[in-house]
Amino acid sequence: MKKRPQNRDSILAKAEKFFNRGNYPLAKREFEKADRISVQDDITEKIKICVREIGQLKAKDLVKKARKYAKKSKLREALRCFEQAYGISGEDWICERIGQLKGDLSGSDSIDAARQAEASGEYEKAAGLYRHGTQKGKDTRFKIAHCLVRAGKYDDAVSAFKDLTLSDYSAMYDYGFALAKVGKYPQCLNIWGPIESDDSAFLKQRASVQSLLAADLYDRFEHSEDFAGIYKEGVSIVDSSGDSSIGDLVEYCKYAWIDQLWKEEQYETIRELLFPIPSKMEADLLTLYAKTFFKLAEISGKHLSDFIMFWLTTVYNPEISGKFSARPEERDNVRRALIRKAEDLLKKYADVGDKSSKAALACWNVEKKLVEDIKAIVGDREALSCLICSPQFAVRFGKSGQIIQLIRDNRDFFTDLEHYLQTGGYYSSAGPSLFYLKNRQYDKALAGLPVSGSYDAGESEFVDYCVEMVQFACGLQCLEEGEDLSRPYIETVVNLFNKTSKYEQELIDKAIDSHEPDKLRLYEDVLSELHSRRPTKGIKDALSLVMSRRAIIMFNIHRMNSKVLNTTIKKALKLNPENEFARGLLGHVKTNVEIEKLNHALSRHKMGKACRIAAMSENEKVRDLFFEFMERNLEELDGHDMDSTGKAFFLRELYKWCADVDESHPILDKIYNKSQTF
Amino acid sequence: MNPYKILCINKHPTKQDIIQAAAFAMRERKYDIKEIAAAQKELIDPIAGITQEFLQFIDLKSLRDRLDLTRSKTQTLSSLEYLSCFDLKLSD
Repeated sequence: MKKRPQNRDSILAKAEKFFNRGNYPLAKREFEKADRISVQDDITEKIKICVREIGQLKAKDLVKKARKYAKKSKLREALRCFEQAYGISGEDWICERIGQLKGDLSGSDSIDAARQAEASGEYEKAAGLYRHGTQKGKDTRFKIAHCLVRAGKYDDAVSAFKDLTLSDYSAMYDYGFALAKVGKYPQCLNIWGPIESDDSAFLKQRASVQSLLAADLYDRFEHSEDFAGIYKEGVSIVDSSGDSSIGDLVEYCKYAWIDQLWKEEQYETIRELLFPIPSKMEADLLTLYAKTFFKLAEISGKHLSDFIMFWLTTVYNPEISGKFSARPEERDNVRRALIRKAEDLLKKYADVGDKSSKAALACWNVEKKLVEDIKAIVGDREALSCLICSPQFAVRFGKSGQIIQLIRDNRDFFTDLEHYLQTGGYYSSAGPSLFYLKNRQYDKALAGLPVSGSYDAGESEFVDYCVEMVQFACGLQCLEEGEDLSRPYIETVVNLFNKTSKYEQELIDKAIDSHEPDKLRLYEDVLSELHSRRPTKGIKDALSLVMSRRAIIMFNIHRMNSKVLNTTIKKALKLNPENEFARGLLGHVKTNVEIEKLNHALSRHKMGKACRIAAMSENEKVRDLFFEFMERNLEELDGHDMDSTGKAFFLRELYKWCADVDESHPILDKIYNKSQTF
Repeated sequence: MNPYKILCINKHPTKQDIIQAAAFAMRERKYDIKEIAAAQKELIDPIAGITQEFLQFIDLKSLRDRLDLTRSKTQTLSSLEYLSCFDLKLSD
């Protein structure tokens, strides 16, 4: 069928439809058709708009493509698309982007060139090209630094690495190598520190750097007095590498620095240099420790424990004190003066200080006596002079065993068993507990006792003594605080009392000094237990007294009746018939019991029984009470609603009761006279 | 109190040194007269003098002298050559 020719209006309508929908290519075609039929200005204008809009769409499409290429780093393709788009739209931003892309393309070329240069060993050139590259990311900066190292530009390489975070061994090695090459050996070793490599060449090179550093230290040592700097660097090398070749140099510098610090009165820094304390302590070193801690003690009470340990051992050391003077008398005087100076310091802190300062003084007093005893035992035996030291020192330097043996071998030296056991105890593995005890730190003393089997058999008698002492003191403390004691405690205490009775007396004194019923009960229980195992006169007497004292207190507060009181007092008197307190109580108690019985009988009108009690009582008070009752009845007779016969009968009875008790009592006359009135 | 410091005097002073130093210290007026007198007394008394010498001076010579300061054989800086062992690891 032949296509029917369209008229101009329908073509225009179609064109307008496409135009309004933004379909400019189709709109353009339709407008052109209409224009061919009849040329009109508005149609020509619309065609122009369509052409422009079609161009914009094309440019948009090209920009989109360009961006995709740029994303995929296809910079040349991206550039081509942006240029085409710019040719169409002529927008400024596209022009700027084209400029950027051209720059990037040039940088990319530099990176490529740098890679090529690096691969061919032209490191300096490569570094330069990497620098010109547009990509200045972390990787490129590492590449620059690496190429500088390879090019032998070590100073530049060190600068390049400076702000980089080293995350892999390659970079660490490069940086360390550059540092070593510029003579910064400690920094090199520091950077290489984290590299864990078994590579023999690397290990050898690290050792070489250490050797160079050691040589550097020696050079500085010979040409300067920077002992502090050399010492610090030396310690760092020894610590990190275990290199012992510079050990003596480092130690020499330490002592040289200490000399400088002493003159500057920097005692705290000296103390830091003296730690860790070595396992062996020769006389000169011991003197240094003692003097340093003395100086520190003059400044503050922070290190009193170490001061005591070193001072006592030093001043009693024959090699050290031998240098005081050639004359023994003068030597002793200097030692005494030095001890006095230490004591003055300790007292100063104890007077104004806290608990620990007071504890330090208590510790000093104990340790001084112990060291004096050991010195006396050692006497002139030079071979044993190294054993003259405080217990703390002995523990730290492993001399305790020898000292214990020395004590055991010289038992006759000691004044008594307690002196012997106590001296050995302080030097034994339970010694710290005795020191805690001295300062009333009961929990620590108990916790510090060695577990059975954890100590040498040679020290067992001393450890046993310490255990007994600590348990006794802690037990006594419990009693004073109103706490019960367990049975094993009693066993231990009996062992201690068998060795030395002075602690038995201490317990007795505490018991006798007690006046509160609850505490008296605790002491009564303990004394009673002890009495069953160790019935000494002291314990018997104390138990008797505590028992009777507690009984009367309980009676007075109505927590014990007279019958139980009587029994208890009798029991107490059986333990100690000479217990004057109980004896006094017994008379009082008897009277009380009779009075109680008399009152009971009288209140129930059991007059026969009342008469018997009053007649039989040895106590006047009981009879007086009986007659007072009768007198009251006689006086109140007139007021009673009773006839004369009854009253006469009552008076006869009254007379009989009273006569039964005391035939000569004046009340009998009164009763008789009264009966005559009826 | 360091009597040596107060009197500005060295170790092992003679009695004359001490008296002269005390006179000088009084002229200097850096320390109180009482301190100077106490320092002088301490150093003149034989026992107190020995005690002070012990307290105020240290002698570490014997500790230093026993140390061996002989250098061991050392490397030269030029002997350090770049190692590529870590480059390989990087490329892995």
